[in-house]
Amino acid sequence: MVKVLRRKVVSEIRTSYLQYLSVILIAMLAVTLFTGIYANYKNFDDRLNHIYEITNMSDLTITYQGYDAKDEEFLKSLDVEYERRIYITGKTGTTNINIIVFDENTKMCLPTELSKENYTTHDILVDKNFLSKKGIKIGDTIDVEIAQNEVNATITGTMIHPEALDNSTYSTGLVYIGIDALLDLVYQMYGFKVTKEIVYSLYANQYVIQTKNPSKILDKINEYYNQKENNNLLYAAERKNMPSNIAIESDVIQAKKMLYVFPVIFYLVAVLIILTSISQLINKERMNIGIMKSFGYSKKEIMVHYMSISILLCLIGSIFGIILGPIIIPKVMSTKYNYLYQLPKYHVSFLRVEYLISVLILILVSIFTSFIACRSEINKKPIESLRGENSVNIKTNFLEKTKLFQKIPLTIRIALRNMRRKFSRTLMVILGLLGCSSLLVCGFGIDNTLTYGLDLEKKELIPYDLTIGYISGGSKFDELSNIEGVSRVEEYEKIAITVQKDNIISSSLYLLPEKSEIFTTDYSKDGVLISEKVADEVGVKVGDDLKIIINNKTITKKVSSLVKLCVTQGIFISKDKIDIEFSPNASWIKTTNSNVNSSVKEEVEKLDNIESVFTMQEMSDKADGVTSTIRIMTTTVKVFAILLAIVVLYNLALLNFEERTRDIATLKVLGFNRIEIGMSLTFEILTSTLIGSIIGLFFGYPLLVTVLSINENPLLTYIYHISPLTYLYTILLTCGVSIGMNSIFSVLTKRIKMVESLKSVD
Amino acid sequence: MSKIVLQHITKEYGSNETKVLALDDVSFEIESGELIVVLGASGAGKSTLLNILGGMDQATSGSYIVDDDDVTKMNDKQLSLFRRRKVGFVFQFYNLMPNLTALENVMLSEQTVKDHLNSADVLKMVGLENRIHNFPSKLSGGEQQRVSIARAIVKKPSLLLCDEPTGALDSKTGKSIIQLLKDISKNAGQIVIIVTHNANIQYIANRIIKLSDGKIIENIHNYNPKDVEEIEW
Repeated sequence: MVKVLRRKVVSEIRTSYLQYLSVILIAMLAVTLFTGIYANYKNFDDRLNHIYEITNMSDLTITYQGYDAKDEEFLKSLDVEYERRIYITGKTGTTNINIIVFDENTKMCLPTELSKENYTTHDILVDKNFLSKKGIKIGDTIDVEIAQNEVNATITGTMIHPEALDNSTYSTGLVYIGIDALLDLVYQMYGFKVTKEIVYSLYANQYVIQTKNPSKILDKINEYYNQKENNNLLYAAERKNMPSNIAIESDVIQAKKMLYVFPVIFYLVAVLIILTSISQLINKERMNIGIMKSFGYSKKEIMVHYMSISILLCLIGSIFGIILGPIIIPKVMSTKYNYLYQLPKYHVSFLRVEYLISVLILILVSIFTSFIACRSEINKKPIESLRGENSVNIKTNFLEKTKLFQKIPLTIRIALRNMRRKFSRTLMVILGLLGCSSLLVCGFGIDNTLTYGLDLEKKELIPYDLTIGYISGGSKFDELSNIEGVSRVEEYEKIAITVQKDNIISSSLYLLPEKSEIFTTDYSKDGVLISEKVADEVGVKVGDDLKIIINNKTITKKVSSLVKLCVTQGIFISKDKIDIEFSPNASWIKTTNSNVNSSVKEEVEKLDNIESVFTMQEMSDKADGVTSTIRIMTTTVKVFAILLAIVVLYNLALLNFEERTRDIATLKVLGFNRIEIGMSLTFEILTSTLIGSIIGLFFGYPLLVTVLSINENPLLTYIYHISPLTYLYTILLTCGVSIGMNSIFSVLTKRIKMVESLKSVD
Repeated sequence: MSKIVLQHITKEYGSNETKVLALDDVSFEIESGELIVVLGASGAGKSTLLNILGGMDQATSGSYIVDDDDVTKMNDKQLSLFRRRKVGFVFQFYNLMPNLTALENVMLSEQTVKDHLNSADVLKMVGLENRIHNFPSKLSGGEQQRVSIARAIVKKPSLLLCDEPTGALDSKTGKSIIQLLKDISKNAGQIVIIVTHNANIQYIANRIIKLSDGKIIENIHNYNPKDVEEIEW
């Protein structure tokens, strides 16, 4: 570019910076969102991969029933690294635990972040989350139930294990136990010593495998077991589908999917803002373009000059975006991840190539839109540009000939025709506000959905007053019923299970009383009632057969119906409709009135073998803790929505104001007061705002479903619900921003000097 | 019957060293029905005088009385009402609202006052009865200026101020516009003030006020104004 034009670019931006602020801001918002969401995904992915790397995590897991030497021969033929191990489920109190046994040869799926430097096969390590959840410390002894035998295990250390990253209150704890420690426990159980070989032959039930091509190997494994005469395979799955890792792995995918929602909206609005701003600039610069052409500058040079203005503006915005995005968004989102998962600290890189790609996309967008905006003016002959023609080609349409239109005040007619004449600008505001209002509905809707789901469960589906967990089996019905203030006791058994259909997942089986007044959904039909979330995850629908694995025993049941529950997830069946011995380990209590809840709680705590007692209020508070992480996200969505509205409306108000300076001055000379002039400006902006906002309301629900579906929480099911108030707030907020922005510019009309009206049109 | 009186009007811009005296002790009186031409070179103070006469700007000192009201003592709101009720403006570059038709542009002015003429009638009077539904972009310069004049006179102003009304027009169109202004002053009894640098226009006026360096250097009554057709352009 010619040096003098280069200087003109800088001076143009410097003198008209207010006009270009909206381009800078939208570029900043778009890049902030893209880089922020990408950084969030990448940081999370890096942290997960880092723990997999340092723990030498396996890629595939095979769980089988009954050892077969042929299986090992088959694995050897696959040319993969594998280890045979013991992976059993047990429980302590009502908390389910998974037990992984290691020996001196164990090289895969190792623990990290250990509480002590070295550990031996005599150690019993538990995951940090489990320890804090149970309120115990190293050196404490816990009762562990293995194969229906209760033993006392002394915790010797803590760890983070790649198969127990889930931090949630409802997740299963993991105990990592050395083979020699297990031999001691077996001695406790049976009273005689056994060898390591015997323990392995009795309990080993898993192969963990490392391979470079997990999906191909998995296919071969499935093929091998399907052809086997005595198929002893319980399940084989890739790491990402394992019950222990499915939640975190799908969260990584969800974090990536967010890239396709929010940044897209902002990039589209950026296109519109750049288009309108550069069109306005070209319109203003008509005469200068004519002069440049008459001086002999080529079309290309002039085009590059104006393109470079938009490129420079986008670059300025992008630089802010690149800095702000990776700082703000991962910080907000990591609150959620840190709440849900225990991941070791890991230094994440600050600058990534992909950030530059997002800037490049924006630059390309700005080049393209400036080209569209400049094309027609630059193709004109120099004299056409110099003539300073600013004719407004406008025709009356059939609506304007109606009597109703004739009754509209003239200042409003000016606004209406301006909207029609500057259609691309009007469209920018409508689309921008559409984006804003749909984001606001989405933001408020997430709050509504969470509150609605929690309320529905506690007030209608399982309206208990207290929920109690027992330490050891055995009914406490009589003791609980005798407490003053208790009106009803319903005991049930919650059992840790693995369910299988299309996917394999860990879940809970609730053995309920034959008839319940507290669990209000009908479960009397043959088969099982299943919560929708579990049904979705495992891939079953009503009428399908579901494989339920309890302590290496498989039971198949038909799914009779589904229930939408927000917090309580699992499979529900009447205790008389399944072949399992009923041994209640929990109960729900109804009290005579809610005032006695705390006194009943105190009485329950005095009883023996009670592990936990929570009132409904305490459970609600606990659920609020989980949802608070999601609510942070909704606040972010709302803030960005408002920012979007501000940028779009600022741009429109400013463009309108600048373009109509002469008209405003003339109206002032004609004796119109500030309110009358302001009304015309406000009407135009407010009408576009309302149109955009109202259309946006319809996009709010689909956006809410998209955002929540890519932001699934393993602890909650979303029962989509948008309150009518949300729509009202959205309209009030968008119109509020619109009126606010307009008020600023209405005040500025005071500053317009009437002598402006005496000046020529360019 | 209207009357305007300017007494010792001065207008200063800037302060101390940068002080510029745009109008220096300007005094004159005008009766209704008079057609005045204000002449002067660039920088003589024509525009400043026009701004003060039209209530767009306030004088630094002196008094400006219109129908017994002192405009120099008015606040912004009162000035706005003064412009609304008493002043009609004709601009050099027409300043029509591009989004309104010819009729709507005139109605815009009509609606600002209670006592007004009918917009369509006024457009007919200026010879645009067949163009009333056209937007400004579809009108020629002369036609746009006629709309501008119609807009100014529809509200029956006491004072019609015209800023270089023929400045952007060719001689033939320019003459027709001057003729129209002359007819208005004669028939409606309004005070018409034309500010221009075109010296030929002065011969049609009842009075010629010449400005130089902010001072009135001539204030001459012309008892035999020429017909528009007679003047050179």
